[in-house]
Amino acid sequence: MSEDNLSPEAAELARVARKTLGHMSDAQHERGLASVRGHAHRRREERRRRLLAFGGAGAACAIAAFLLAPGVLQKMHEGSPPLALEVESGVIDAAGTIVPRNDQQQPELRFGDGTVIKLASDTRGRVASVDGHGAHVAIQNGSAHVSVVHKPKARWRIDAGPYTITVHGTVFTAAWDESQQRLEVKMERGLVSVTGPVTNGPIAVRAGQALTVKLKRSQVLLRDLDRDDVVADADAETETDVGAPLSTLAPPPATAKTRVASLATKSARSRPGKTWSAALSAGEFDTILEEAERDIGHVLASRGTEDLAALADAARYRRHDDVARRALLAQRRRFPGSPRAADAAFFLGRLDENGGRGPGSALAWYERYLDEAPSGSYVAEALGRKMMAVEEIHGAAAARNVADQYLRSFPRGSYAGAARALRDR
Amino acid sequence: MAPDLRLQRMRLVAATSQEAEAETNRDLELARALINGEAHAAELAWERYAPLVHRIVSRAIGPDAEVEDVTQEIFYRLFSRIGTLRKPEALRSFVISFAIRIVKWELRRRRARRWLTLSETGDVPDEQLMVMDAESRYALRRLYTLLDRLSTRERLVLVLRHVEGMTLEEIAEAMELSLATVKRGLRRASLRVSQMVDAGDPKRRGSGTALKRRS
Repeated sequence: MSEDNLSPEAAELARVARKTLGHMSDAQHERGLASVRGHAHRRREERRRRLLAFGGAGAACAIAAFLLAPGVLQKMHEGSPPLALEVESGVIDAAGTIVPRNDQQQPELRFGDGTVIKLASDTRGRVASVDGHGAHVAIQNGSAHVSVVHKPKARWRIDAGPYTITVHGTVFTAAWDESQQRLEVKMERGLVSVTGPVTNGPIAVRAGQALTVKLKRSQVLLRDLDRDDVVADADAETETDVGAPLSTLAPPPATAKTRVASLATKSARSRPGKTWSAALSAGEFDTILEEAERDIGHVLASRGTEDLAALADAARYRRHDDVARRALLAQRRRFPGSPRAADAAFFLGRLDENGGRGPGSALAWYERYLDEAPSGSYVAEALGRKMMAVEEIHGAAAARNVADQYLRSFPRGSYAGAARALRDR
Repeated sequence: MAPDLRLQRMRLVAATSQEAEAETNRDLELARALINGEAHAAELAWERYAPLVHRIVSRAIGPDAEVEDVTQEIFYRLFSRIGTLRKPEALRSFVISFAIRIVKWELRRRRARRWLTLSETGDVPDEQLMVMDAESRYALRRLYTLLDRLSTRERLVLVLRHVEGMTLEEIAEAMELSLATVKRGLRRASLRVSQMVDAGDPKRRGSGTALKRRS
């Protein structure tokens, strides 16, 4: 043994550390990305404020005077030709900033596929990129009404402050209040997922729901849009740490600081006969679990697809993995071929991965999900997880094909870094 | 060497060198984007380097709830100090060196406050180890308890060499030390850890006798 080598026993300890430490989980990566995005956003804002302070209104006008030349957006696109874009009541300057024609007007972005994004008065926003499948629009302060036309392979991303809203076909309003550090997402149709600081992974917001994130208070509120009483009470409500975020994908870490207000609980409990999906929206995970566990066999055999999905979600949030697994399996067994059955395959993969059943079992579920829902909401996540699982089971060479596939479909996805590292290794 | 084997090897060397060049170009572009404050540069930097930084932090500190926070902190500081990067094409080395510097401060801060990676009972907090099998848990607890008894520099040198697998030259560059200092530190750290492991007593410090016996 050379003198800088370890003894065999010490070397074995080092080997265990090498093997077990250092893997960055998907949730950690997502949280970090959101955090870094928020940090960069604040730095840019700070820089912008400094520039404005130095240059004054004259400089701002000078920037706005550079109207967007037809070729400018083309530089931003990736792959196929970018969607056509017209701006009503405003222009886009060379930096992508959306500038209204005057203070009273509300600029409207009209894309070639029929998607319309309308900014409210006094909203600061910019078009970060446009490609053949969608665009990336950032709201720096203010709100926008977004109506995305659903198309296969559509890829739309709306940033609201430090938050990212991943959109498929859907209609919603997103608002970011810079001074209050407050996000509001109100869904009219469809489904979006929101990631950013204190969300602990993506939060799915469905039609008829509203999401509020108060960054300063680390508070996340998900509620039904018709619950005016709850909305009115939201600011006055005492925060309750329920220990489980409303994340749909990643389980929270032990150190998660997310607080989910239990504001809906008291009013919801006074309403007998409430559906489980309404209870889920109100954050009443324990109520759902209590009811289900009274006669779980009967529940799994008789409840409808919506209730089974709500039960699986509540069980996942509360880490009742066994109940979640049974609900998801019942969903697949009783409603085969449905979108929820396909989603269940994805969640079963996540459960297997997090529950220590090993990557082999998870991989089979991810592949099944990708087969059953090639344009589903969780395709990016499933493909990314599949890539990691293949690498773990079959090695880097085998995972490269999946990495290529991922990068072709999601060049800026959460796993793009890992995929490039794999491909370039 | 047979001609076809030689040809294969030459092709491999050429391919490796092309990959390295592509990597350098990507780093160059990213470094310039970071320096110019371009919108997506921070995210790209995270995508490219977060797994590497997280790995280094995690292995240097050990199983600890703060690994995630320290990793993010490194990136915040990196973005604010990116202007000090002299060679944009050497972004990777800069990131590693930066990460190690912050980890060093973090370890010293913990040492100073007696936080270390231990709970009040002297064990690595259990919840961080819950996902591992019992054997790995025990091994990690044992290793990091021993590492807490080394100086910060010795600990980092040992982890970077024996856990992270870096070469001595890479360690010297990343820690801004001379090669001789790295070698000395590694020799001392390896002997002490081996000695404590072999003695089966994590609390035992390296004694002169054992050191001489191993030497």
